[in-house]
Amino acid sequence: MYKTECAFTKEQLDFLEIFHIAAKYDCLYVLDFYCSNEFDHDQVSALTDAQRAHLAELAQEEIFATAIKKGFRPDLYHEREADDGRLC
Amino acid sequence: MDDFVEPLPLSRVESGMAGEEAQYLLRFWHQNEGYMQLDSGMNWISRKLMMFLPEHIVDDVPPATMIGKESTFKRYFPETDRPTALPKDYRRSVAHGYHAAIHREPWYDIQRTGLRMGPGTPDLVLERLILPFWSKGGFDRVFCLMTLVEDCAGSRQSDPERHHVHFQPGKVSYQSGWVRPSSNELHLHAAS
Repeated sequence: MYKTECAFTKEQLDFLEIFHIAAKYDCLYVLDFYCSNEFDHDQVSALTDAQRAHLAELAQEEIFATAIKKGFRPDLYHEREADDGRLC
Repeated sequence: MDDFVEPLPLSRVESGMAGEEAQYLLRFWHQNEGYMQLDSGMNWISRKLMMFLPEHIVDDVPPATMIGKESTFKRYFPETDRPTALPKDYRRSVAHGYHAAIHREPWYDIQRTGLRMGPGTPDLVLERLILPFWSKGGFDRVFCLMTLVEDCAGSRQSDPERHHVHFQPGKVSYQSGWVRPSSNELHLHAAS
């Protein structure tokens, strides 16, 4: 047994959550569209964590609204946020 | 004022007369049978697209979700992301193309806005290609590529941006040929 420690920051998790939902509802192209509009390229993987968090913020209404209509229920992971700002 | 909205045949898009971007968009739609796929060409075009929810609202345009930063709408209305901010009379006159796309019919038309967009707004000749896209996950959207043909308030000289296409990949060859359609061409639109 070993103790795992979450290495993801809130910025990273914000993006991963949007990415996961977009993949589930087959709309990853929306992230590419917003990336192209905001950063003049579509290489999401080339963005910094802060840029990806900004991208998640731009796309979240578009993606969340449709996902929720399709039955998605947000996981309130923020409630599990640790005192040091990292999420586990 | 000589304002109008008239359908045009999709064959004009297919042949490239509506520009390389419109041709690419329609070809992509046909190739994928309306299913959206990840595509670098579409990502590039997205800057000029408007994206709408597929909600049929009687006599009105559907709610917009994304307005491309290089879209014609953004060029003339940079301060808003909501086409519903335009006058209801104008929205009513251009709603049919969206309704057709919501019901999964590709749509292409030309319009002259005249005064219908409200006092102080430009009098524009615009072409619109409106296509429905959907996904296996149920994420459905309507895309509109609106191309400026002429800004009638100007000197009536050729609009420099009209020929300035950034589209990649492919060679730039856009020549928007605004020709009022013949009745025969209009008939072809319904048949295509």
